[in-house]
Amino acid sequence: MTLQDEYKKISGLYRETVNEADSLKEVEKERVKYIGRSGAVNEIFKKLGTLSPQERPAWGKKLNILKSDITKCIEEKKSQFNKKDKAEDIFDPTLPGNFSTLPSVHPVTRILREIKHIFSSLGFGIAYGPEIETAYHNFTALNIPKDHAARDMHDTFYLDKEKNLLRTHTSPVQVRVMENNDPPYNIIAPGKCYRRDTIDASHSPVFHQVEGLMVGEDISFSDLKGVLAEFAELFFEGTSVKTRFRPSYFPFTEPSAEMDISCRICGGKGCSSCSQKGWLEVLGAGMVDPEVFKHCDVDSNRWQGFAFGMGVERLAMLKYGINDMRFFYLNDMRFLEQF
Amino acid sequence: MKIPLKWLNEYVDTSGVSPHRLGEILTMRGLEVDSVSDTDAGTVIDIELTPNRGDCASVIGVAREVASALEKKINLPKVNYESSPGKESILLKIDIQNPEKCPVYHLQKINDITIGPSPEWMQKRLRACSVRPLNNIIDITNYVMLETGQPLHAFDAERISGDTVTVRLARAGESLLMLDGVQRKFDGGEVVIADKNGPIAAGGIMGGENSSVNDITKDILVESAYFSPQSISRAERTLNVKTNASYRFAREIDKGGILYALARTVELIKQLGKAEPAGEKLSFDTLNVSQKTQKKIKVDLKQLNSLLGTSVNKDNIKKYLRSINFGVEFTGSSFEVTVPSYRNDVHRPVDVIEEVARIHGYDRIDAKLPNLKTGTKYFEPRDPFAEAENALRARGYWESLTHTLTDSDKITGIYTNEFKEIKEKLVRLKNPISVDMDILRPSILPGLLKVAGYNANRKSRSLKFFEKGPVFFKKGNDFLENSHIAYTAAGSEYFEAKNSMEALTESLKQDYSFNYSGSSAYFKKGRSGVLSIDGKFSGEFGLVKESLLKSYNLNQAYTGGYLILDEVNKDRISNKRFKKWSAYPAIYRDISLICPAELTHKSIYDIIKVNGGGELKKAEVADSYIGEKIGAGKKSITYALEFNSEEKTLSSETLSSEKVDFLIEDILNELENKFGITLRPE
Repeated sequence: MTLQDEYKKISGLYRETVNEADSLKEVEKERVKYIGRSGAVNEIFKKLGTLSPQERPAWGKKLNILKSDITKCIEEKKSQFNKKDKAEDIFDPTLPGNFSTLPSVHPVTRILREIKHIFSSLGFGIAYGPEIETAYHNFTALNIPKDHAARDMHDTFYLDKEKNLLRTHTSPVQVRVMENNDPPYNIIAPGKCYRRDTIDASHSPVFHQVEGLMVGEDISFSDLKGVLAEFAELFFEGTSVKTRFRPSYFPFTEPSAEMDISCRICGGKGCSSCSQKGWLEVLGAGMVDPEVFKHCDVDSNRWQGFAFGMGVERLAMLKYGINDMRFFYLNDMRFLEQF
Repeated sequence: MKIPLKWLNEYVDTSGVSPHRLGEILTMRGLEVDSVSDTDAGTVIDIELTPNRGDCASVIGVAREVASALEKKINLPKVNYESSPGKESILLKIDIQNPEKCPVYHLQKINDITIGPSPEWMQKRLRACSVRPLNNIIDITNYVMLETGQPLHAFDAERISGDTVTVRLARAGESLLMLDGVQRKFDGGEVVIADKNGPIAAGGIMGGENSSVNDITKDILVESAYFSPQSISRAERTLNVKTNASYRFAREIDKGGILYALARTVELIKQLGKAEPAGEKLSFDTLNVSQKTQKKIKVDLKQLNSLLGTSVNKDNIKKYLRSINFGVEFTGSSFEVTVPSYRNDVHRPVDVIEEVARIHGYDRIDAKLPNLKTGTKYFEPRDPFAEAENALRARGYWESLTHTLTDSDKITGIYTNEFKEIKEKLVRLKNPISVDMDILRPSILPGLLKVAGYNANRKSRSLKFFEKGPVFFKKGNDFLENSHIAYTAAGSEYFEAKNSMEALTESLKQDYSFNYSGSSAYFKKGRSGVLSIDGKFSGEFGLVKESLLKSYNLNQAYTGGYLILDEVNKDRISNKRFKKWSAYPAIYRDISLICPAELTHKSIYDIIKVNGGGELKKAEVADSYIGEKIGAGKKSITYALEFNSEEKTLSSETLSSEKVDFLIEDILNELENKFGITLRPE
């Protein structure tokens, strides 16, 4: 090996081998190996004679630097072992850190944001409406006439005889959007709703819904299925969720449908959380009823489309496996900090 | 709606189809099967009926759907009974006074019945359908109702006074002790069946005790009628009662089945009560349902396929609709449909389209993503208040969500005389479910205090909460919904509230100011502030009043605040413009002042600000000290001042040190003149 090759080898090697030493004794061995009287560096010095006189001074200098680098490296290593013996240098990296994190948002807000995000990416806008509604917007315009059995589906809080009420669903927002704008429409409407239900594990007098409306010249039931199945897939990301649509009834849509997802616990085989059905109800939907278009002055011969409504707490319960609706409004820190 | 399968099988053969599978088939046809269970009447499926399908509130109705789905024939019980004049002439008359609410009314007298229990098989079926067996007559009327969907009622003929059964509107104040033992008062709009002495039944809802069939009844009157859905829905509400009968009338019964059900009842009574009809039935019929006028609806096949996104052809349409007993006649690409009398929910083309979709199967309609271009009016490029929520979260506040319905007792206590204006604007519910949820909240704070208190009692370490949401007020005859963001922190002091409010307004880039002299319904005087944005009242903050803490049983200090988001100038959030900073270095000076201890920072600051000119960019409190070194009644306060100028001046290249000295001289002179403030000796 030439001087140059040996130089290269040693300078590339010593740090690794010195640092691998796990006792002072081992370090001493390393010292002897590299810079001892007959160590590797001295061996290279001996080869200086093989160089031309012009090259010699430069290489001599280089070798001296190498020797002092190795010395330094060995001293450092030695000091590490020496330090370990001193009490003030004992350090416990396993002690818990004292981190602080941003408090999370409420799970209902979180789910609402996800829903808004998904529908925004599908091209929907976002509309809002008042929580104190007129009976006209909440019922009549949605083809739920007075003294009709369909009003029974909504037990209603009234603020006066029968004109003003707390909206029982977010559907009146579709009416307001259609009243104030010309078609086509493509919006969702998130918000609070109220029903005169006694509080229990699956009922709350105050809850959240997201309404949706898509109307164009050729928006069909087939589009309804496509959009809502896409939503389910994005919302329950990472799980292979199956959807199914079955006939249902809402006064403001015809045909009407209910969308189910395959039970996330049993995967569709049937278990106690899906009452052995294998499916869980997620949302209601349907083609906007011509009566609703008529109330909003939209020509149903030219425009058609679908509407849907979903319960936000219900979606949160399905997504996170929450089994009691009351938790959402109790705001127990042991609940909030999980999201 | 509970359907015993053995009963169903009398009309349609379901052999070879498991109950579970049958449940799935019905569910996918819109008759959602909730459960399948075993009873002593065999397997029972429980269907959750939607309000439009009143026709399926009967075993026969469900049998029709099953027959269509399984492509089977349906066999209905044959009835031979024809009403005919009997030996005994009828002394009774009927008088229908409100035919718009009761357009069809039949009464059949039956004499010499033997009251006793109904046969075991009938009792089992009734119990399987959650109907309590009573005696053979009542059981038969209930049985036929469950079978056909037509509610029937039996009166004790001998207990009726006078010679006329009248169907009329109840008079306000009239009342009736009904079969369930409850005395109900009529408000005046309900249909009643009455005799000479007054009501004997709430029509279509429940009979009265005064005319009921009992153990010693001999002669009965069986009623089969049509009551309008609207009048029944209304009466359900005013009388606060729902029955198996009202459930069916409210969903509208089969106008073509009223007489069939009566005949079926008479036949069963003949068989099981060993009695004979006495004379001809009394009939009133303005619909003339005996010659059913059938609905015809014209549907365009192209429109059907466009709405569904399908390509269903003529042959399929015929097959689908005929399977549910609809008549179908094609003319070119449109077809005319004849609807059977029990399908009251089908009267428009779109209703027929739904039937086609239902039978075709929703699962066979392709899913596709639409191509729709709409305006951007409703697009929300950002949540304008997300930064406000983040500002509070960054300060350790957790988002909570409390009920917007709250307790008027507690809330009105907050608004003492000084704030009675708010009390008068509270929005009250007409029909609350409980006294602790009888108004809409005028403020988020009380709810948040409860949340913090709840968690404090559970020894939680995080006791800072915020909520964004609506609050409600009356405004004349109208209502006002404001959007607030509110926060509270347990065990904290005044500056927690102030810092949080500044974090909020700064995060929203608002032009704001505070005022400290007002009084607040929620916060302690002298430890609170009022926020103004662009000069308008926009919120409050401070130490929560003791009275408020007491009423929520809170036993430590709480601070809080709220910002009225409707007052936030959104332009400042969305239309931010970049401003280049000065290219020249700033000049920093500290001034330490000695002033009266009670003098506020704000009074000093205002003078510094005015006299510092446009070159004074910042004046921050660096230090404030009260103590022996300064002397009694005095305090020392140090301001760090920053001067700069964006422009070159005529006199010098940049802002000169001399100019700054000159400005500080002005400030000090004015402070001395106004408040006797002096510079603190070095």
